[in-house]
Amino acid sequence: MVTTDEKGPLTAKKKSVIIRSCDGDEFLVSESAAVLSTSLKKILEEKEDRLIHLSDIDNKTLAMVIAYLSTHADDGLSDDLKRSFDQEFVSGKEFDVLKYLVLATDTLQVTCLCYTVAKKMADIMKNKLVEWVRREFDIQNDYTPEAEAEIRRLDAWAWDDRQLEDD
Amino acid sequence: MESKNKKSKKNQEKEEENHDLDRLSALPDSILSHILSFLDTRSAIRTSVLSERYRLVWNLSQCLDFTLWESQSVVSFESFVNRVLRLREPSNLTKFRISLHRGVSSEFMQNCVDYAARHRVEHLRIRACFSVNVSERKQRTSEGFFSMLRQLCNVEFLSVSLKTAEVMAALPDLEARTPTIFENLSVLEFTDENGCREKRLPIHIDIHPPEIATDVMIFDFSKEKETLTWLFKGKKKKVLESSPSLELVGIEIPKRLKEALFIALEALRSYRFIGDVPPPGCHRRSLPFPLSDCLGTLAYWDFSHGRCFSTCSLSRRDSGSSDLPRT
Repeated sequence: MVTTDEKGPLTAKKKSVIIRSCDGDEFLVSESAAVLSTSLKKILEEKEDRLIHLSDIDNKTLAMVIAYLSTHADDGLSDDLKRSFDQEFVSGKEFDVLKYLVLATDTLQVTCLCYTVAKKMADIMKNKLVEWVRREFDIQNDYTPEAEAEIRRLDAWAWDDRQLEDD
Repeated sequence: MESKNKKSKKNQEKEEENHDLDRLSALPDSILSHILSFLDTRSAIRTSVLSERYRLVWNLSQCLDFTLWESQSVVSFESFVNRVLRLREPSNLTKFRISLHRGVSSEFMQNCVDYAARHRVEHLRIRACFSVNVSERKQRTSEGFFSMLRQLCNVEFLSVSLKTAEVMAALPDLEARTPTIFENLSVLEFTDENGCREKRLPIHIDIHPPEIATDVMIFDFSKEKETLTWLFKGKKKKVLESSPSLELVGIEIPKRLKEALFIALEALRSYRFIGDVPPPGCHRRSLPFPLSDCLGTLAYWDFSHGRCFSTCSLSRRDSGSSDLPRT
């Protein structure tokens, strides 16, 4: 996804936007990168102000999203390079980091990154025992034993644990 | 609970509201269901037992993805899938994938395809390696598989992979069929991996836009003649013009072909053929109509240079005309 701004007149090329995280830090971003986020694009269309305050995205997450946007706004990179960047981007990240990323990309409407991150999160959960998922993500089991047994009974076919991992 | 050094105010507020907040449960339904849509349906349903929060989230996933393995019971698989189809949120299905390594009943297949059609899925993939008892079931199933697909008016991606002669035999006869309507189809993949032992195994898919009611397009896989032909019936030129969204065709067939393939469709981007090649020269007789009649993008694969495993990307007729065979 490449915006036309990059190819546009020089004035458009040089435009940049300041984005402030909820921690108060400010990030300078080229407009061509910012508009890859549908929400930021809308904000920029509506107001002249070049300062955007994001009240629910922290420094660390915002820095990652901006790194992603800047890479994808770079005309010099081939689609293949961008794809491998995407894979690199989510690999090895903590689940918690991914969670904030997926929230941020949902808020900012960065569809491709939201897709990549959600897929990565699903991959982490894939073929894992329920007990593993509960443990890993601190999920409090609030079912009564009877209620849980009933759910397992109804969809018994889904509970063949032979192929599932618990590590 | 793990705490983040620089947690946003909003997240903190959310945590206060939600006493049993954990790392995953904090996400809104829309994102959770998006994540679950990358899991196969069986794994997605298993999340329902995590906690009350997850009881119905799998329901919101827009994808269904089932696999029946060889070691699994057909009866319990069928009742499981049927139950899922009954229970899930009815309005938002976009993808339906089913992969079968054992035979299932034709009623079951019918039910799945009906469901996909009723919910106007855009993406349907059927991988079938099932074994149907032909002699007993032929009568019943001949009305089956392909006539099922006829209802899929909204499908954009259709991939069908059939691996056994039995399934091929269960497909309907050419003459008996009325046209299929695939208004929005842009990707069609049709695979036959193992070849067929039956003498005559016709398959046909008609792409039948509503505005030109008399045109049909037919695939004829006729094993008796060892030929694979792409036939056009009706007003041929109109067929070219009126299947504007078909972009990709892939055919894989192991038998040696005596006739060539010819595809001419406006939006066609890529055409893939994998298989044995015919003796040189045979292709010329099989051209369904003069090249001058073709509009837009045109693809022709010449099999005269040995066995081919190839993908050819198409170019516009004006730029690629030198590659085309002369009639």
